[in-house]
Order: sequence, then C-alpha cells, then structure tokens
Amino acid sequence: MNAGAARAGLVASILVVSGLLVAGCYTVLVHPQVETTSEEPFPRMCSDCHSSADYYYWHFPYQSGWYSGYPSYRHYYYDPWWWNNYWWWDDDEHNHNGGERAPEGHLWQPRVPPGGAGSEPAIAPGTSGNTGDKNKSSGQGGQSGDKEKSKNEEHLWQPRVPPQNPQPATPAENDQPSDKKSDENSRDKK
Amino acid sequence: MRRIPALSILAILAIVPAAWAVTGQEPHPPTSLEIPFLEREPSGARWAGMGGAAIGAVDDGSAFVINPAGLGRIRRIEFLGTLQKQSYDIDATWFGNPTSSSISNTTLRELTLSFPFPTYRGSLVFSGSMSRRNVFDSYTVRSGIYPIGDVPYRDTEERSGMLTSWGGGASVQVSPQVFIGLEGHGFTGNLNSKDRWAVWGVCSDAVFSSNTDLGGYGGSVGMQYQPIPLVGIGAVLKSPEHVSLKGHGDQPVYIGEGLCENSEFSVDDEATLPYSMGVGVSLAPANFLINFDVVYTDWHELKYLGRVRDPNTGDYLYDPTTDLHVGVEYAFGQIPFRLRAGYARVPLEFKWFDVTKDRSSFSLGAGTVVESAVGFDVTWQRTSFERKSVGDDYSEERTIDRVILTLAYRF
Repeated sequence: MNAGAARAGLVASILVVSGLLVAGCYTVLVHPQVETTSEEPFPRMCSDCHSSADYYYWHFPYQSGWYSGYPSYRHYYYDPWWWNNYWWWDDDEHNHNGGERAPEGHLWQPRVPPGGAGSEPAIAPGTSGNTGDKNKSSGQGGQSGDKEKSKNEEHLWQPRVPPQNPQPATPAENDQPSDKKSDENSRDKK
Repeated sequence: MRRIPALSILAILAIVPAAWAVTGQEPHPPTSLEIPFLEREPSGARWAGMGGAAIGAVDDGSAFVINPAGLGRIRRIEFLGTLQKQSYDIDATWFGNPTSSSISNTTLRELTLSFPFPTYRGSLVFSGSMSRRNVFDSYTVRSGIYPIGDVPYRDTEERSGMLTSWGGGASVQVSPQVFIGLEGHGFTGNLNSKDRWAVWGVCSDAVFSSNTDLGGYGGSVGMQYQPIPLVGIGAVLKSPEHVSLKGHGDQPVYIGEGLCENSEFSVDDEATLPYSMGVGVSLAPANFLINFDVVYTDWHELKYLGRVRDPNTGDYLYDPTTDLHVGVEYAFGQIPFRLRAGYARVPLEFKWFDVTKDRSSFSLGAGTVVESAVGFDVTWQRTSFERKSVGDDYSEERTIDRVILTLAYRF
C-alpha cells in the first residue's frame, strides 16, 4: 500500500471511530441507575420519568415505510428480539412485592394500559404497536406521581426539553383510547 | 523460474509464440487483458431484484456488502444466506468466424450473521459475513481459419476460481434518523486459467496455464438518513481494495521449426482497486418501495504495475464509470408477498474495446415473509453487453443470466 492510501485509510478510520464515540449521544445500551424507594414501583416506562418519552422509549423512528402497518412485516422488521426479555433486567433484583415475583413485564415491552385487553399500548413503539402474543400486559398503569418526581433528574445524555405547561390528566382523558393519546404525543413532539 | 506479472499472464494468453511466429500478428483477442475481478456482483436477492438499487434502503444482512449503515436497521438476530446460479454465454466472432460457448455454475453467494445488541435506546448491530466477491468461471471457444496463412485454429480459454471476502462490520444509530456503519474484509481466492491453442502445423497443441492465489483487504463506511418520513437517503464510500497475486504457471515457448516447449514462470504482484462512492434515495409511498442509486468509480486510479495504460498511446485502459441503478417493489398489504423489478446500467470500465452496447441488467423478483420469521426472495437477472475490438476482427456479445435465492431467518 502506498503512503497516500495508508493516510487516507487512517483518516477514514479516525473519522469512523470518532463517529462511533459520538454515537453514544443517541444509542444507549443500559439505562443509568435511578434511585427509587421500596414503596414505589420501579419505573418501567420511559414516560414514568421523561416527558419526552417518545425520544427515550425504544422505538424505531427510522421507518422504511408502511411495513409497520402489517403484522407479517412488523414483527420481522421492527420488533427487537430483546423486547421479551431485556438483557440486563433482573426480576429478582427489582422485585418490590415482598419477595413474590413482580408482575410479568419487561422494560421494552409495550404494555396494555388500564382498561385492559384490546387496547393499544400507552406509548406505541413507533407505529408498531401490539404484536400478538409478544405483548403481554404488565398490569401497570399510568404513574403520574413518578413523572412529577423525575422532573428534577438530570442525566448527561438527556437532551434539553423545552418546559411544558403541566396538563394534569382529567378522568375523561384517562378514559380515552390510548392510541389517541399516542397520536397527541406525536403531535406534541412535532 | 522467471517471474512475470500475474495479469500479464492474461496478456501472455494472448502471446502464443507459435502463432505469433507464423502470422506476425496478435493471435488472441484483447479479452485476456481485462482484469477479471473489477465487477461488483449483486448481493441479496431482494436488492438484486431491484436492479441493485439499495444504498438508501437496505435493511438486512446484505447491507454488509451494499451499505453497512443498513445493518443498524436489523432488529432481530438474522442469519442470511444467498445461493446463486449463473449461466455465462459468450457469442464471439473472430475473423468472421462465429462461435458460441457457455458455462454455468451454482455458488453459495453469501452468508451473513447479524446480531443486534440489546439497547436501551437506539441501535447497535454487529455482523459477520462471507461473500463471494467474484466468480471467475468462464469458458470461451474460438475457432476457424486464421486469415494469415489460411491455417485452421482453435482457441479454448477456460477460467475458474472465485474471490471470497470475509469480514466483520457494525452499525450504530447516531440519532433517531441517522445510522452509520462500517465494515472491513479480507480476501482469499484463486484464479486458474488454461488456454489451449492449436494452430495446424505449428505447436499443434500449445497450452498456457496458470494458478494464482489471491489475497487482499478492503472496507467501506456508510450512512443512512431519513430526512422526512418515507424518504431514505444513503451514502457509502468503499475504500481502495488491495489484491495480491501469487502463483505459478506454464507457458509454451516457440523454439523454432514449428516446435514449442513449456517454460515455467512464477507470479508475485499486487493490484489496487480505486475508491468507489455511491449515493442512494429510497421512497416509500403506500405499498411501494422505489430505490435509485448512483455509484461513481474513478478507474483511472486502478493500479497494476502502476496506472494501467495503453503502452502505445499512453491512454488509460480503464475509464471512470457512473453506474445507475433503479428498482421498484410492490407489496401486497395483508399478504406477505412482494413483487419487484429493476434496471441497472453499469458501464464497462475496460476501454480497449469499442463498446457497441454497454453493460446493463434487467431483473425481476418476488419475495415473501413466512410466519414473521423467514424471509425468502428469488430474483432472475440478465446482464448483457456487446463490444468489438478496433479493426472489427473480434466482436463478442456476453450474456449472464443469474437466478438468485436468498433465505433469511430472524430469530
């Protein structure tokens, strides 16, 4: 290899490595440790702590189109394999029910909001929504108290979110279909 | 044992001393001067079915070859394999004598294992791949009456072997709408040539043969970006690829009085292929996927014993090319079935010939996803071109038909 090609390769390698380092700005492998009291259920939904949950929640904003609208393609292309069992989640370690196994549910698994079966997840992973038997209900509902608590938390990788006027949920809003709420979240984000 | 440049071996194929001595004229068409591993053959049946247009859209293991950024869009552990059946037909006319020859082969084209690392947010995917970069199998027969001396001749040129790349890559999501990826690969392979030349009365059965081991390395870096929903943009930069050639062979040497004797030679050379840059756009209106790619390669930077030039005129023997790829896919909504078609225009880089019909490909394909876990795609692709040597003493039409099957299992 001549010197010019070697130099170009070195520059390219440096650029790529730098890019990978910068990549940490968005791709995060493990959620930072968050202190919780034993009385509080461990926050399992990004919206429990983050007002811009769509940004934090694992979803797939890079949609290659309409595939997510069809179940056959949705599971094949969009559902991460670890949704059913997030790799660092230890149910025993985070068991808050006096030694009994916590209600089944995993961090990145879309869950069914209060109101039960047939509803869309409170926060849909992109547009992928429920996917058959993969989406088992965790049985945990909205946790507005956690959301209030989290407003003072800071994380290095947390983007600055413009302050929003608090809009306490009304009973009527809580009763509305969750997919409608997701749509509103999307509009807010835009 | 003499050492000679490996690819000059292919030129030496053209210099059968016996015929040279009889006629005083180049006894072999210039096809043997063409470096055989420049073409980037298709990868992945789905993308081959769309004319190879995939830089902005690829989202499976074939991204390793097309644009490594696309690996980041794999959400499930994927094992992807591609099988290719290729039929290579050559219709040649030399000194007014038409001949046809063909050869077919079936090759395991690629195997790729991709592992999306579990992430809290974003995407990080690692991939390992084996892919056949080039399959060299070809078989050419030329026969007739040599115009000078009116002697019958028969030339059989047989080439075999393949160049395989092995590598690893990774892709990461750097923002909600941007992926970057890179891959590095090494080459192994071999190129075997045998040219049997028969001219009545002079070295009646002269055989040139060579066996060359190939090795080398290369890499690429790419990105995919979605500026607005349903629009994807991709870019990829493929680094120079360095190929080493080591081997040996036998060539006939004319010793006079119509006799030849074999002489051994050895090969120890290097070649460097230039940078290649590609940009692709992908649109996804309802149930359609439309891809368009442009790839530019400056073949003036090709190096083999220095820049490759015509020794007589000093002109480059390989010119820059701008490849165009376009493909469209339609998916039936509730049925996991997709149809696709594509077209590609990939100009010939080797300029020793006058090109009468540049290299182009048409492709048709279909695919399905079974039980949301198994993807199966099949593509038929026809690539063809026509060219002739200056002076019209040689012309040829090459047609390559490929049937490509890709099976992907997502755990």
